[in-house]
Amino acid sequence: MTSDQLQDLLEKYLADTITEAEFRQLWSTLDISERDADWYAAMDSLLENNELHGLSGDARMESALLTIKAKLANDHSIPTAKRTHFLKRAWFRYAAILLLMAGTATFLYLHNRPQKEIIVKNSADIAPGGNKAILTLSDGRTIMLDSAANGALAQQGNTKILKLNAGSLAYQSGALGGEAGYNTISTPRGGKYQIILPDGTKIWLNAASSIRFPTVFAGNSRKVEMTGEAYMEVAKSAKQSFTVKANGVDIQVLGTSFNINAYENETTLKTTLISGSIKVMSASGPSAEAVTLKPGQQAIVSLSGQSARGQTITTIPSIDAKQVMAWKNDVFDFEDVDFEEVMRQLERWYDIEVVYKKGVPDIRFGGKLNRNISLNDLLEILERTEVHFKREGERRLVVGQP
Amino acid sequence: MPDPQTYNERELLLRIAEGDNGAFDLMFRSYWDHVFSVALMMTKSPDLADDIGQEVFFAFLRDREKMTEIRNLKGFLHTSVKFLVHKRLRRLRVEEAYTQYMSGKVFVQPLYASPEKAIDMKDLQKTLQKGIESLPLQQRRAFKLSREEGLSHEAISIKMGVSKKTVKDYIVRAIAFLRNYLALHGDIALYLIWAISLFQK
Repeated sequence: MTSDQLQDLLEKYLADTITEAEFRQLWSTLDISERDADWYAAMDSLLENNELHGLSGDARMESALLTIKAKLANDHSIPTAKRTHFLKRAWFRYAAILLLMAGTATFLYLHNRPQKEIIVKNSADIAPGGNKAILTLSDGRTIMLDSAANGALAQQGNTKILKLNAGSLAYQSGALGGEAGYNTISTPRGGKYQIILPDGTKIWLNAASSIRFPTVFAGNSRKVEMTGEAYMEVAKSAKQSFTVKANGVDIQVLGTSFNINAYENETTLKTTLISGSIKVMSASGPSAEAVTLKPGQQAIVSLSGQSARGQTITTIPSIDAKQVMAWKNDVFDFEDVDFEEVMRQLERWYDIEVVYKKGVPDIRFGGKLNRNISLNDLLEILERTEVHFKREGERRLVVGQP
Repeated sequence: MPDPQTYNERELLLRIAEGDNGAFDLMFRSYWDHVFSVALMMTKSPDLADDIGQEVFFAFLRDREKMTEIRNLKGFLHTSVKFLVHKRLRRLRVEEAYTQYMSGKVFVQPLYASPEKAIDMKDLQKTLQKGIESLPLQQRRAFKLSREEGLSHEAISIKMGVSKKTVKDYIVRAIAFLRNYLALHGDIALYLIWAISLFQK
């Protein structure tokens, strides 16, 4: 990155017009010592322009002054030796009074928003999910993907498995005719991963999900099985169809991108088509149903018992695809989502167990949240809607009525 | 606020080194605001800016006896804050930094449809409007032309009869002001949900 380019990014950052991609680029320059001068120069220009100041206000200034002095009084690293003992110095007496005042002033300043102390006390905060997954090879060996080094990971017949970076894995087909076995990649609770299949199909796995597929796609069809939630961008192939099996439902695909939500503890299986065309079929049998989706549509298969045999499929003609795919962008979209479903999403992402003290609150959240925040931070935000949360021990979350 | 330049800087530093409270207070009150303001514009976070500001002056206070050597107090404080801002920003992981950036970002567009949420959002919108009306005249104009009318900095500079750089300065300061205003007067948690939702749309 050149100096000019960085200056341009800094300007955008200061004016709040920077895009996310640019923000990431900007941030990376903080570690490049040749670019330090540009950061300093941007600040010089702000420091020298008095017109840009005046943002503090007196209350904040006075509070800061008190805090600094109180801190000094507590700072025991004051050299003694030939100096008057700090207890006798004028500073200490003054600072002692200030300490009392600082308490009040700080309280008034910081606590003008009522803060509920409910949550934490004895429970350590839980970090959000991250790139975690386990690869199970055809011979049963397992590899923890998060701790594996980047680069060639394993070989299955003529197919090479490469870890591209933290969070993505690619299958590279070699010469044809090699042995094919099945591999499974599964994410634990609190995990997510991206995989590129031997045919180039890209799959994003959400937490507590898995995908099982052959290491070589032979014949005229590509068949994979999944559990949990995945978003797929299927590579086009004139010769081979692509079918996904999830929870007893078959989804037949033709060069397309779609999201499947097939968690076992959800009552329905939802397939949302982003682009292309797919056919959703509930399990075979005389009462099987099939629906062909157009982009922007969602098929909901109601599940009961162990399989979707004979279950009805409902088509939603136009769905908020962004909400469906929010997880892929590391966002929780709770807009109008049923309370229990929200809690299940939290269970999977933070690996916790939710229990209801007095039944399920009749509340629907609105809005979206970044998924990359710790559990306590998230709960603090949700608490604003008057639901009570209490953490018990490490992994238990109790929901009470307001 | 007393102009720091009218005081004999050397004498001020000596008095501070000797433990003169009043001298330190004077120095602090002369420079605090612009240290904070620049830290705020750079970090986009009033809390972080406050922290950094305090660190600058605390370090000074703690080592005050050595400060008599300083030739240029303003330059010294500037260097301190530049170094600290860079150091603190660098410590943030980019995801954290981005969330922090987005959570305080000011959006002027109207809000989302959910009727239950409309009441809370109305409050936030009111607070934001109050903040905008509290801006100094020129900054308010520039900000509104940019965010409410969507004009480019070029167009605004023509309309307001000032340079593009001035327009940029107005907007940078207006945003920092509003971020601070909302942090002090608004309900931050709700705002976080709202701001991110608007961004995603």
